[in-house]
Amino acid sequence: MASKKRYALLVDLDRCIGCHACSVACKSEMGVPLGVWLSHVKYLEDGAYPNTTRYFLRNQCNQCSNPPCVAASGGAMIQREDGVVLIKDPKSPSLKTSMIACPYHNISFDEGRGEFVKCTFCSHRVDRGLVPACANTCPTEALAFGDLNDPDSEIRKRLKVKGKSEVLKERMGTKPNIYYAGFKNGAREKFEKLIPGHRQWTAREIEQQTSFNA
Amino acid sequence: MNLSRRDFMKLGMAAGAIVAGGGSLPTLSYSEELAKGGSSFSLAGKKRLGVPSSCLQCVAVCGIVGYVEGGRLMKIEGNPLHPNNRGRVCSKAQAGVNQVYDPDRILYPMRRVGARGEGKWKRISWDEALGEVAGRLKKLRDAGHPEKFMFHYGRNRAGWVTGPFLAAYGTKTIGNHTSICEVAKWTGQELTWGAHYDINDVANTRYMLNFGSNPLEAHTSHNYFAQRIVEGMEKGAKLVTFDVRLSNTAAKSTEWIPVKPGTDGLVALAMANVIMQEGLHDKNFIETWTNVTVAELKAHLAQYTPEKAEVESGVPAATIRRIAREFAKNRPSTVISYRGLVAHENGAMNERCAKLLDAIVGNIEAKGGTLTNRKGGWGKPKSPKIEVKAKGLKIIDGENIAYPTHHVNHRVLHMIKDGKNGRPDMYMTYVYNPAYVNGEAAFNISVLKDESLIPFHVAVDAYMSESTELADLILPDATYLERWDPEAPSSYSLIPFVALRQPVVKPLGEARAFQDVLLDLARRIGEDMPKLLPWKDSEDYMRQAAAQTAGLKDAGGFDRIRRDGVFVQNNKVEYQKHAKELSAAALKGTKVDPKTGVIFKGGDAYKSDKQYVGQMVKGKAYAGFKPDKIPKSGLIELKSEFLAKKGFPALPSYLPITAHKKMGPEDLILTTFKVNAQIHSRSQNCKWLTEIFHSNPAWLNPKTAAARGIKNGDEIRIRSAVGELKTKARLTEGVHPGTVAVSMHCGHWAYGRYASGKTPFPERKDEQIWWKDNGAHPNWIIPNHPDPISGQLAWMDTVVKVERA
Repeated sequence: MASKKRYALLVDLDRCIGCHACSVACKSEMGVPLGVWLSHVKYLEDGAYPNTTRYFLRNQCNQCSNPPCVAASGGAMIQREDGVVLIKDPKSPSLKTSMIACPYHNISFDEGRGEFVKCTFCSHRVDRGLVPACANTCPTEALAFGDLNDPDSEIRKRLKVKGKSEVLKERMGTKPNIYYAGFKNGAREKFEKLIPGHRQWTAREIEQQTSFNA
Repeated sequence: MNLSRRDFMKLGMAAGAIVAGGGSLPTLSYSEELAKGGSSFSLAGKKRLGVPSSCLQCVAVCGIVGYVEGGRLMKIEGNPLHPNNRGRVCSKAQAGVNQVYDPDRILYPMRRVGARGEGKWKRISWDEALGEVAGRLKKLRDAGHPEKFMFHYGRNRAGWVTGPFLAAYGTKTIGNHTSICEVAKWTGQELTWGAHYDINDVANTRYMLNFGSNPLEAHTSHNYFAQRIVEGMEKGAKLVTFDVRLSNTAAKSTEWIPVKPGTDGLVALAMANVIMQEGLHDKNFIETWTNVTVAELKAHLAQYTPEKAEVESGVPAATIRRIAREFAKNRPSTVISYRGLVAHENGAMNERCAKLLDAIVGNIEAKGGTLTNRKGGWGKPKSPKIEVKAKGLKIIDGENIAYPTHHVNHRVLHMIKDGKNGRPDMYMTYVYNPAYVNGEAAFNISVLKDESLIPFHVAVDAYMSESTELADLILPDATYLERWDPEAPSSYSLIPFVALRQPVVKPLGEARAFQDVLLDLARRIGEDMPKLLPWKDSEDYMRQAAAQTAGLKDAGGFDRIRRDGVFVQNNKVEYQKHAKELSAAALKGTKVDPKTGVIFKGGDAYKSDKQYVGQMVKGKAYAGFKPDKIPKSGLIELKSEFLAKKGFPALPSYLPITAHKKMGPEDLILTTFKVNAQIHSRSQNCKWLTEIFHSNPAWLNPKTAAARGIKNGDEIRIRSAVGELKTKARLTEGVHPGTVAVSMHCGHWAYGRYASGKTPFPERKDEQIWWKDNGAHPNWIIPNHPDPISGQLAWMDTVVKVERA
């Protein structure tokens, strides 16, 4: 047996078609109420007519190896041995500090339940040998999940095929475990501008950046 | 007793809590057997029961597994055994959970008590409801006027019982909804190669040439088509998309080429011209499998120069030449087509242009090319032959349509209003929402409301749609997750298979599967009807059908398909099906039509597609391209006598859109579209989907907007000949400057709180509808104008003026 596990997810943007299947899988699996998001898919248009294109970015907790939220949580959050970052005490007021500490907007407050929430990497599934709900349904297999320390894992195989992968806001030193492959024409930097950080997503942002509702 | 929506919800919740699993539901722990994925456990680690079934959010009908906990459907995932979707499902399929537990769902039979459309209802018993329906049906039948019962369906997968029921009853006044979808594509194919539906073998192709299809977001085979496009592209295939709008498919394409609406056919013809002139065509295929010669085709196509096409379409001649060469040289290639090409006044002809391109380079039936349909088939239970002489009102095929092979449903209410061909006494809609889904919404509503035009309207529906709210009697239908149907979707893995729809949970409240209701009605009408529909219920039918299904009986029959949800009937992938030589046994008792070379059986002359056996080619007997509905030959009829005799060009030609000939400089063309998180009209009640896509601002090119003083987010007015629409503008570089694009999903004025934005109370205490804008429905301003060949509603041709509101 190699060293301990380190779970990670590859988002293959060459394969992603922005279909929102992962977003609905998340809502359904986690029982997420309306107005609260543990993950979503952002759209970004680029270029001038007729040389226009559109990029997609699946956004969720980056499950950082160096998670600023845990450090700021006053014990309300934990990082498991396998790297999964979880909220332990969802009603703790100190999680407000964690929300502000997250550079990716991925800790949210569920007003209806009075709880802080975020992606759990579907640890309840992963612990029983299943992949997270998003990776399970992704129609084009753009999401590959697995243990980075296992050379035979799906994610290691896919990372090898893709060659190059990137993370969001690498300069923050958070060491995310969500990897992206296939950013084109500076799309990563453009998306990063949509993520100023240190608060939660507003409904308006979700509305504008997901499917162009407004 | 009058029921308020609150009462509905209370009862719905109670019913939701008591529906039990067990009983006739399978109790296998399916998910544990899955190779990967499968949510066999809840968040709390509780084990869930997995029931394989078939989706029916959209008509792709993917294989699903419903996960049930304590009798309640908790989650939907893909069925890994399904050859099409291979364990993966889209956003819509997963939101099927919302269809079952929609808090505004209709759970009891109801009778109208106020004026039509006033919204006042009385709950009645099933016995009373069916007593009334059966009584009225019997009266019409006894009077010798069964045709005065009109059955009009939308998303109907219950043809296995609606078909025999209507035949036994004796009415041919049966409406459908194909003319608002893609009938021009189907009729175009029926005139060209024969039986409709095409499969682009994109996983094995080198080049995809796409005219107006958006398969990465919506398609009759959306999810599994999208999977294979991505697979093909990863292997290096190119995808070139012609579209007026930057769809997600256009965005993921190697190249997006904007085109003026209605001119795609001309671009295809110009490409065909380039290919023929430059000798890039497949002479052998053309002269063996089509009914024209290379010389004939070359001469005809010469008029379509890329320069001429550039003037009309806006696509540069150099681009047309380059794409034509790439398409012809990177074989196998394949032409993808859909509503951008065919939802026009010239739609059927445009589809012929698409098939022309495939034919001249020999793509048809080639690996990696464009294939005729492949699918499995369910057997039918033994039952007496129905020999009832049926009658029909001539109101389902529109006026003066050359080949209405799938009927002209959007003209039905016009025909009823006109009245010269008679009117139905009883109009029954089944999962059909004519007020919302056709053009001219205001007209549709006025006819549906008028009791002198439609004396009695029964709606079979699970939701209070814009049309169901105008009914006199409502029969609450089971959702697709609560009932049985045989399914055999087109096979994108190219191997024939059958699939099952079975109840994942029991119907909520007093909802009943319409399939069972019809069998009940047959017994109530009595006379010969119960004998002609001899099944106890849907499950009984399915059990008997499984026993008659090729391969399934010996492989475990009904129990097997209940366990797996699918059954593969044959594992062999076949190409070049048309070139299969016929055996001596197949030729026994056949004749050859001297004019066409068609080998046929029965009768002295070849008159009906039903007589077709095969096609003589160069002295040999082949399977050929099987006709359907139109008795063409077994060749690809690039030259169509059927069109010529109705006054249309026999060879694929460009037919300019009438309304576009006299456009002013201020005019724009309205185009509509679908997005990935909604189906056309029946998913906006799904909260998880409508949260993602709930409003549909009009897409305008910044140049077009600037000329009208419109800024992003401004309120605008879009005016057509039939109405005016107020909406918001969304400025984007992703749309042709001569068009305004409005998605067709939004602006429901009924269909429950999520679709319409009418918020009586929150469904759950811990969640609120946070969005304010439910969008605007474009069908208020789109005329019900048909393609004269197929009857297709010309959705994408409406000339409009756009201004700041």
